[in-house]
Amino acid sequence: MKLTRLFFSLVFVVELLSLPRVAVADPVPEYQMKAAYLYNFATLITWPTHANKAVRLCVLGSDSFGGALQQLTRNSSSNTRITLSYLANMNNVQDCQILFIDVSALDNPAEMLKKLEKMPVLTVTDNLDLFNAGAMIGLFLDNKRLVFDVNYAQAKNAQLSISAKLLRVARKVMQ
Amino acid sequence: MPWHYTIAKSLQLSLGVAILRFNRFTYCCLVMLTATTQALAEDSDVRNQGDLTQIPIEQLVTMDVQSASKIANQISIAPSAVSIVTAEDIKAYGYHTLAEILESMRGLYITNDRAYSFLGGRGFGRPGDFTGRIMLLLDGTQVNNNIYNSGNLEYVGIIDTALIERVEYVSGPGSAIYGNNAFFGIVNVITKKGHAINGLQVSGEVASYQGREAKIHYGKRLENGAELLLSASGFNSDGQDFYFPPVSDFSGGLANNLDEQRSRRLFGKLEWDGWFAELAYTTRKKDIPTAPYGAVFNAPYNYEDTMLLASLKHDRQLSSRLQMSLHSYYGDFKYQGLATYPSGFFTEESVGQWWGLNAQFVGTWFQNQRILFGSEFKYDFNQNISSSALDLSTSEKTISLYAQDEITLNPRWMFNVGARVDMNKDELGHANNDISPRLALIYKPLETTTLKLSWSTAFRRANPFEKYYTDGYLKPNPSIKPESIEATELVVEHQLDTDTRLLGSVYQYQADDYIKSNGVQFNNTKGAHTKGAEFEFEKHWHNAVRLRASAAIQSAEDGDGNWQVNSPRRVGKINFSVPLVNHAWRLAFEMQAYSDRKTERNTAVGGYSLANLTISADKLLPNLGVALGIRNLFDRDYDHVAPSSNNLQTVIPQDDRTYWLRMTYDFK
Repeated sequence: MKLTRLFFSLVFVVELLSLPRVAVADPVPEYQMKAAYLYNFATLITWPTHANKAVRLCVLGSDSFGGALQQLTRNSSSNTRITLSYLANMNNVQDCQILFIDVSALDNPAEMLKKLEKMPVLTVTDNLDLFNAGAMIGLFLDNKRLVFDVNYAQAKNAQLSISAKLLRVARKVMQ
Repeated sequence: MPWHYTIAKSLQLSLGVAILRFNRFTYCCLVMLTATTQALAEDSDVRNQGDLTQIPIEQLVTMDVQSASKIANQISIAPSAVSIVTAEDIKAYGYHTLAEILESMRGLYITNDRAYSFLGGRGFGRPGDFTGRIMLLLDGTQVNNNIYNSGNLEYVGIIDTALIERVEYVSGPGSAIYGNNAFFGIVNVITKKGHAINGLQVSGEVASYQGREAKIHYGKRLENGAELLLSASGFNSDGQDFYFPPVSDFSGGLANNLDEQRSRRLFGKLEWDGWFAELAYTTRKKDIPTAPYGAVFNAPYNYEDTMLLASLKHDRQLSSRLQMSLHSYYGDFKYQGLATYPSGFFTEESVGQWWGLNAQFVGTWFQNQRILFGSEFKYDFNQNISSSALDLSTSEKTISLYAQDEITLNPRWMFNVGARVDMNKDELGHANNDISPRLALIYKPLETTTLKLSWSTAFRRANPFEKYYTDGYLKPNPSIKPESIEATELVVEHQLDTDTRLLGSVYQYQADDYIKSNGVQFNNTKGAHTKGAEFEFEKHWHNAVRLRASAAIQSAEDGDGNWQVNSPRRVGKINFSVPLVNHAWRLAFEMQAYSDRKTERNTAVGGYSLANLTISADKLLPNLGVALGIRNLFDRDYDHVAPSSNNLQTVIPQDDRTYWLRMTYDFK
């Protein structure tokens, strides 16, 4: 029919006029980048008694990652294997190597982090209040980039060894 | 420039010269050829998450990140204008039913005849029109029953609003993917995940006219990632007494104690590792005060509707380029009605049962093409209407095939082409085959701006009620043909920033063989024509202030050029909510305005504006939330157009100012 013809003609004109794609990278969705950072934390940090088994990533609160965390667990091309677990409360947190605390779990941050003190669990958050309350790594958006601050003192207290490679690219390292 | 790119371009140019001489078949071939060469010539810029973990952290920190927008993005499959209401809004505005949610959306309006709530918009919405001509989906499963095509919206609605994560309204014909009855659009209701409740939640409510509601929800995300959601709720209301002048009988025009309603709902959902199982049950009984269909006034008249919906889905990635979604569903609908006539009680019962299977695939074999295709089988094995005047028992089967190709020509242009074929056969062997194509061109002149131009057709087969119903007064018409609609729409979407969104739409609908009742029988009538424009603005501020505003103008005419019944020419909405007292409380205000509407008796009922206010606090006390609402804040008198089957009323007066108070307690 006439309209179909019009559409196809439009498509043609469009194709003829289209320019070659310039290789400008599209910005990465926020939560996909955060998941990639968590992966790097898993590979560039050593836990005191864990030694090269699968790194258990636990999530406390809502999962705003939209499937990006599940994707991490399926990534089989690397040496570090990641397993994913969702926590409803703080009961089994000692089985985790990394604990990501979402803003929705912001009930009583001071009490939460006090319980985690000395435990060899890397606490990561993207909420400023939680980071200020004593989480070890905070992920923040700064001028279109994802940056991270490291509370080195807290990490050292928990006997977690953070690679110099990671500390070098952190925005801020608090001793 | 790579050499293969140069050759592809030369090929295109030389072919392009001869464009106008080729026929349609050659067009298709050439389009596919150029699309493929284009795809091969370009470097892959598609970054998936697997690649991200291959990139060292020193490089990741230098890459640009797109912050997640607070304004929801659509889930439904359609290159059209989508309006979304989220759980946040449902909580802030205290929406009790799907009707209230849809009433806040661009261009839509609800008509309440004190029996059911009917959805209207874009030229459709004749009161009493059970079909609604909008496909209602619950997590992708069709709710519309196979007797009246109705997808109920008020307390008959299939889902409790507390369980809704979001509601998406996709305007425009949707038969290209969804088939029969996606005539004017689709409404997709998506439920919450278990962890959104995260424990046990009970809630109780009291409202005007002795309304009381009790709910209990349980939701949990289990250690292995599975999500469970369970719910039971009930609602009772004594309703009001109504005065309907002039009714000259001994009751003096008063319909006494005939507005009572009672409803119950049950819901269960389990999601686990690519599997999805859902069960929804609702039942509602309501007294009707208006004595429609010539019944005796101020005498018993009630409707009882029951619906059960079951769905089982499995999503699986078959290969890196092919994903599959298998969906099986079962629906069970029952309606019982009782009316009083001078000769005594008249009762009728309808039963509709169906099951179906839908296998859907998405293939990404070609670089810049996303191909969706699938096949559906639906067996309406029981379609039953029985009364003293009718004993109908029939069934039908439908086999459908559909496909859609999203072709990304370059970063700015995308072409979407799709069609669905529905082959239907009823028990008597009558066949109805319908093809619904859709073409859309999508242009992104800027990263923040999208233009969508679409042309599509949709259809609706006559349902058993329209074809076969008779009560000695209303006559059947088994030979009604399906009605069809052809739509052209231009949508413009602009993101001022991640938290500000503008949407504009200009459309034109032409309906043919439009099925309409003349009071005695349903017939195919001369086409109806609607044209209009809609505009929507949404903004979320960083201090948690939210605003959504919309305006719609439309001109709807029937086949004879007369203004359509119950189609306001102008519809405006505004929704505004602010946090108070250091984010502990929230105040939500909404206003809806409608211009004049034409009634079934060729008169006009005046326009009106309606305001609602809700004040809520999540944590009045630890674990205790409270919400207080006032509907029709300014206590306006306003009417809705009555269905033609209401011989005693031309308009139906709506509620004065009403109040409700809800308390919610979380056991954590």
